[in-house]
Amino acid sequence: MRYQIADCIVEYEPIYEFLRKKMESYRFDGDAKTQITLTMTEELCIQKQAEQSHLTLEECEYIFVGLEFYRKLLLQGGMMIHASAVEVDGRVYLFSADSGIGKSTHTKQWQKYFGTERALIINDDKPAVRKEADGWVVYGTPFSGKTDEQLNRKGKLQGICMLERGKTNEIRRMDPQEAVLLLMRQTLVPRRKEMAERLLEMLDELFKEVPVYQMQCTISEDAAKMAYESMRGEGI
Amino acid sequence: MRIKNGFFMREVAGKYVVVPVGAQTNEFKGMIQMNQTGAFLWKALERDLTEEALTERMLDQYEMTEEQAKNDVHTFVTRLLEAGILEV
Repeated sequence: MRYQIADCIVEYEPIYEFLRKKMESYRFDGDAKTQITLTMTEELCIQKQAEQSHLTLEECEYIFVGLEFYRKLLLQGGMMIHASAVEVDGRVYLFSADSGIGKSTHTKQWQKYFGTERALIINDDKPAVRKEADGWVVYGTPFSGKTDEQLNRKGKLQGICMLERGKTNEIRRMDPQEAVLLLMRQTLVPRRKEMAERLLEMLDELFKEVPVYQMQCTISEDAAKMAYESMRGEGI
Repeated sequence: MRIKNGFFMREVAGKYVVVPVGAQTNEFKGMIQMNQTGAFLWKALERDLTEEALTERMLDQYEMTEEQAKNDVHTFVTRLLEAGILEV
């Protein structure tokens, strides 16, 4: 089976229903050459599951195929960031934080504020980011964590916001130098040197060209409005 | 002393970032960020050097007193030793 994910032609035969469903909307029938071949097998899923008994076989496939895709995407010039990606009017806003801080909860507030027609959750866990001829873009991927919040869409990357919980709503532009380690904590640094090199190279370029913010916020539509108004300001 | 194998440094957004690669990822979790001077010392320590030799290199490179250089090198080396990044 072939798929097109983050503008890469991917070859893979899903084993279990969970991942098959998530990948369905990425099916590709054209003739373009395969760029990424994913190699997960049922035997390997069984082996991984034996090592990590808190996971189901379906989850093992999902997680390890996601990791393999992530590493191979780096060699194709893309990366995945642990973030919730919300698109409004063709521009994508990324909200990144450790698990449990409330990335999805925040982007849900965007949908309340703008309505679900205008605010689209492209991906709730690991959207792909890459630089194209006309700038940085975000792609939906099948790797959306527990939720099914993922769309096979692409939009311009408007900004990245490092999210923190707070009692009031405050947002500020971050100096790239202070943002580096924070954002790197939300990407996986691969073990292989050539891949780690590609990631750092890409991040260097990303920080030069894409604004990064830090926000403390409550769970509210006000927070969504503030984030949108602050982040939309640049580049439009 | 020298930097152990399996670390990789690159400039990211005007600062230098060091990440572990290969087998080193099992030993060392996380990342290190350093400034220009740190990066200079790091590069020097990719080859085996004593603390004295490193101090001399620093004096060749930067306008500073011998005492400053000694202190800076000692602080840097101590931190890397504590983090388990140097082999002696």
